[in-house]
Amino acid sequence: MAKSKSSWERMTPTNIALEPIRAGWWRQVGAIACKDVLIEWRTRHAVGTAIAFAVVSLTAASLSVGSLRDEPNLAAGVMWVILFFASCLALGRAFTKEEDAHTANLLRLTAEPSAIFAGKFLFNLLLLMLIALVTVPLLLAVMGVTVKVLSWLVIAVGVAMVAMAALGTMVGAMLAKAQSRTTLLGVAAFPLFFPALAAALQATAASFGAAPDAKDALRFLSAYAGASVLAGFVLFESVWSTPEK
Amino acid sequence: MASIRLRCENLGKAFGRRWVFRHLSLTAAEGMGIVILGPNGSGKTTLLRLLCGLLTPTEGRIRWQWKDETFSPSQMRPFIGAVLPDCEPYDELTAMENLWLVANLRGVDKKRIGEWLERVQLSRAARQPVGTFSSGMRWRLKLAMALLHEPPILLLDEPTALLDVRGRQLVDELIAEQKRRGLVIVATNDERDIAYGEEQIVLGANDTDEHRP
Repeated sequence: MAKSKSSWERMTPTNIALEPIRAGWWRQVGAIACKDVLIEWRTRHAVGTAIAFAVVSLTAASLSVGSLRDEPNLAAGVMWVILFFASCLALGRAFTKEEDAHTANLLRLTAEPSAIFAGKFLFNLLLLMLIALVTVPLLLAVMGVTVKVLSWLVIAVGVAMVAMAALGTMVGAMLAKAQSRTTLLGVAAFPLFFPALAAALQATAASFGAAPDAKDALRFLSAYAGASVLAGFVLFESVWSTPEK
Repeated sequence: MASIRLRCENLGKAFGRRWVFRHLSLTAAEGMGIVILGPNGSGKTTLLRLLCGLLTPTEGRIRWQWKDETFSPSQMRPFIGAVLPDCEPYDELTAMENLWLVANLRGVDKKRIGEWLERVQLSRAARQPVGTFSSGMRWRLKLAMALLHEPPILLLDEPTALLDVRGRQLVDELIAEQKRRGLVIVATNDERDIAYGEEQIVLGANDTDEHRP
């Protein structure tokens, strides 16, 4: 996201020379995303939990329903139920961990809210892509699903993950201080995720051969993902920066 | 005329129905050290959080002044270094990585990381995860993280409670330097820390908190 002047620079007194304490917006975004990747690489909490959930539920589903080769709608449904809950498990940690470890105020004091949103969004997106990269091929293999149009499936999964990462980042920040927040994320975010999930489900089913065309669903999904990212940038500052009462 | 000024007028903070403090007025200027004294629960840390915009006052207002312009505490965050109990480093990262993060967020040259590690006597532990640090080492790292961008305003909560003799000497030096650069506000229970400020604020003394030069 190109920005000519950061919000911190705009509010900074113009008649003082404190150049070294202003960081570029992209530098802040990169630092936050790298920090989260490094911590996740060392702990593997979010990835481990989400992928374990996806594999266990996929195994249970395949044992109970068997092959879904001739059931493209059901296969798409199973895939998105697993992806939704696995994603909720992963997304919930981005901000709850910051609050639990008392590091959230370090970010509040040092980084611009929009850079925090962008950094966390990039990290969450990477996490969801990794979960999808493990879950989707596994589902296709275990349930014997044939993909008729691979590009529709790739676009549906990729764009839906963008929407879920953006909405999950925003809702995760809102719920970070609440109790039972991991459970709450799924419940609170579901109405926001629903349009993206419905369109992704439709496009995925079409890619499995349930419908002749997925273009309308993919168009809607792309627009919704774009709106979700935009809403995240606009709303995050008020969610994150408002001092406690 | 001093460049940085702090003005708190009739400040009060309540959590629910309980007032932590009320009717606190205070002015401070560049070159000064202010010491906030008071027993546990009197609102020392709360006052520091209010000054950097992590909390909003229940009544009254806080204004930071830079020459002729006034700013809210949130707007002054880029110019504040704060060592607070709920502003921790990341346990999974090393001391160097925590400072690298702050350097990137603050826009500071990375050469200063090594300088500050040496200054707070953590060079040998630079590549250890912070989760393995003692409380004194962790406090030194927090000090380095707060001062890495050499802020004009420094807020310190209990600066010497966890430190050994060398650590106390370090804090003495850093506070003296900070007074030359700007303003330092110290919240403490330790009477030895009174020397850090020319003015004292005593919280929890009575309903109207006391400000004595």
